[in-house]
Amino acid sequence: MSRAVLPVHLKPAKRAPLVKAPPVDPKLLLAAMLLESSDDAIIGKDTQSVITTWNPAAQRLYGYSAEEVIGKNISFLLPPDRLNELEAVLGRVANGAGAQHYDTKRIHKDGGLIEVAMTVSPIRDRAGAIVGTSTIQRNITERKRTDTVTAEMAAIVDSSNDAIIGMSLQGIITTWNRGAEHIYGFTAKEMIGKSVLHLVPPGRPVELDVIAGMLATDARTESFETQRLCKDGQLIDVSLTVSPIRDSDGAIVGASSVARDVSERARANTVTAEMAAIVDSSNDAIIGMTLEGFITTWNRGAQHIYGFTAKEMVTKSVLLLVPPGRPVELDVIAGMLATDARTESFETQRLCKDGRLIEVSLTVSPIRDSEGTIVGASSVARDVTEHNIMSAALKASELRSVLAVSRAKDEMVSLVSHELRTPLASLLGFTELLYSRDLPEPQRKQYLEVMLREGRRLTDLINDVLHLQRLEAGHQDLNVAPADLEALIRRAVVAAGEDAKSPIRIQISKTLPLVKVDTDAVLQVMANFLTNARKYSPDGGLILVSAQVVGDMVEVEVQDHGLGLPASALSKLFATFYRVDSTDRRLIKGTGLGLAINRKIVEAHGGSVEVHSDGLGHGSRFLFTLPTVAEIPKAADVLIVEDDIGYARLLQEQFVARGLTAVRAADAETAQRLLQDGMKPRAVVTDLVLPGVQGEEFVTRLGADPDIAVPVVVLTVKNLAPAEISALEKVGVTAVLPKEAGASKTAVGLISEALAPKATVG
Amino acid sequence: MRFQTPNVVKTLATVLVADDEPSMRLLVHATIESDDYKVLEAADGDEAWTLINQFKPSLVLLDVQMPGRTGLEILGMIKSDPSLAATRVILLTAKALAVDMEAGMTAGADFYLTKPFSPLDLLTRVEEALHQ
Repeated sequence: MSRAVLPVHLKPAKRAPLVKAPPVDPKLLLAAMLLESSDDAIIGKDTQSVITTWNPAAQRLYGYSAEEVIGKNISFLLPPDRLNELEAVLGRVANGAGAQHYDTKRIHKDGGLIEVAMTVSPIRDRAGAIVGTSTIQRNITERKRTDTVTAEMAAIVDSSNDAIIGMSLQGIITTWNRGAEHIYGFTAKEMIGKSVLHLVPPGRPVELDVIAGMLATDARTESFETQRLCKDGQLIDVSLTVSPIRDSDGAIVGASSVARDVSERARANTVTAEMAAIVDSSNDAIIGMTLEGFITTWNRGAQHIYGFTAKEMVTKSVLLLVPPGRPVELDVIAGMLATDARTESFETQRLCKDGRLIEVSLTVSPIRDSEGTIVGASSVARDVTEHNIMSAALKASELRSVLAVSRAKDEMVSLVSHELRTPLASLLGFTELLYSRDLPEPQRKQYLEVMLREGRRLTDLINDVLHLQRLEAGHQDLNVAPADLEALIRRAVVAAGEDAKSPIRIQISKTLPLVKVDTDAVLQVMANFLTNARKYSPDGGLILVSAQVVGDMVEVEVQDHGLGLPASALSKLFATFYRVDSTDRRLIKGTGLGLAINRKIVEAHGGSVEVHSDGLGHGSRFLFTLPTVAEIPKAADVLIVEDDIGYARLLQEQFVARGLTAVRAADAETAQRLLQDGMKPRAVVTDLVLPGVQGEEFVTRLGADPDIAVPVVVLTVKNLAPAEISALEKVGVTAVLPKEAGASKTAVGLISEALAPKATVG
Repeated sequence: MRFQTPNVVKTLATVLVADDEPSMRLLVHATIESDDYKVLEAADGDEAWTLINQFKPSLVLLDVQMPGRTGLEILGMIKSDPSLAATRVILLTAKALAVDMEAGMTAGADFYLTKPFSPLDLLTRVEEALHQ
């Protein structure tokens, strides 16, 4: 098959014997010349998208010379997010859809993105078969930018409060914005095409004369105060800014006029409107009255506090609100005048519509006319009845939280019901197929496997949803205690299990300070991050866990070398039910809730989560922070080493009841760190079965430490042989108690006795 | 030996199942699989559209929420392409609200089934759609 390859460069004709000159196809010559001289980039490709033709305009557009690109696949010009565009267009061209026109983006040699308008047409051989495509491309980066700028400018002009109008050199109005409509009263329809002179009162400068004057002095714009005429015949004071409008060659083709209403009326209107709005929206009862005590104004706050509407009260006497024996506003005013005070505040009582007496803080001021004569009084009352304040505040905050919770619930319910339907459809659908059809054994098995998998997925989903719901509603109480984070991380890694394909390595160079966390919750966070790291590394790769101190937090990082994340996904990754969509992760199952749960847990600790990725194929880094323990509780009486939070609490409460302070460590590692960091307990209670280092080892180390010569009580569910008990006693354990009913009481009793001041014992 | 007159030779109807959930594709495929249909599968909207153009199926079973082009987008593209005028469309979706259903029917779907659905019901719908 012949390739329809057009000549790339028309080389200057070599001097060759004229007689031997081959006949030149005039069509081909024309094509070549067009190619050479075109302002548009023309690029030819074969069906494999390999570049065959590259004209000088293409070089100008992309920066590459023909020598650099001919023979290369065109895909290097495509931004990564548009790689499939090529195939789609090729498909359409191949389907005989003809030339395709579209705007898209391409990468310049310098790495910058350019906007191009494309026309893609098929190249056919003589037989009509498609052997490639030709693309005509034009750089429209500038046009796009100009379009945006123009649209933005138009929006700014239209939304301005100033009257902005454009006019021709003859003074014919060409544009009229909403501000102009507002200030002058005329609509754009009424004014466009009319003379600007309609707005100019006799004797006032016309915009165009101003322009003429400006040209004489070379000024670019001119501002001055003048008057303009409105539709209603009123004259208004305006501050006018006039500028010439020039065409692209710099010739003046008209003038623009920006007018700001600076009339007293405009100012007064604004101020009055603002004041009225403030008064009306106030929670205080603000009322105005004449010197005789007749009410003239009554705001919404007054209606709320006193119960009367404005309609009921305006023109009525203010005395309706004053209980017998209480001061009346007008008497107060009289008193104020005697002492020259401007306002007066005091607490008194007022009477409501429903007969209730309320406590109010009242501020009374005289109302004066423009000459300064007192014409009435204003009274601002704030309801200070304890009950009212409390209930109002409570109601508002309750309402807010109820609304927030119900909104969150609505979202959750709609998301969940949607997410539940797919696994349910599998379960029910296959059940029905199995029930209604006689199926061969391998098929039955396959369907049952799917059902089992989907059933498990449904269970995970429900568990995660419930967990998240508890976290969101704030019902999940964190059992925060000092903890050795490195030990927690090691435990999470052990729990994640061995996987030769994606091994987990811990890299913590400096000893971490103790953190203040709920150990179970943090273990779950670690488990989620580690599971994700493996799940989204289908080809394996090292998973690195590191931790370091950042300010008063410890930052933990879980880094994988897996699929990575597109930049667009990063901000949404921790949202409920969000899952990244890409072909390579379609087969990876997940509820879309793990990271949302992690975020909630970390945030409940006062920490934050973060994710970084250098893009698809470059792995991901998840970071979260946890607060460090600000101060080691050095002075506590008893150190309780117990991973069962319920039992630890029980002990703690009993110690407190005896006047002793107790600190809990959820594992032996944490207990050891507390002791190292300077905690000096006067007694230790420990369990034997602990998550990491076991109780036996812990008490042995305690016994070997000459600095810690304190009573140690062991409480355990282990059924110890006498030899084991004596071994414990040998390393310094004071008492070994089986964990059974009453054991905590015995332990607390033993310790408080040992710690009691010797004097009382004798 | 069976003899068939040329005018009653059965042409195998092509049915495309587009859903991003492998278990859903398996279920739908298993439900409608028979000697009368050739069943194709697509795992996302873009793949679905490619296969639709290539095979001009008689019927497309479309999941609404798919990566790439959504089921509703594909439906719109089918409806505006004269070469696909004979293609019937059944929407299969987890969106169960009346508004969703209305959107699907307005867009020109022949049927709208909500997940979970009964496979036998689906089969009935498929046969109805193909014999319209």
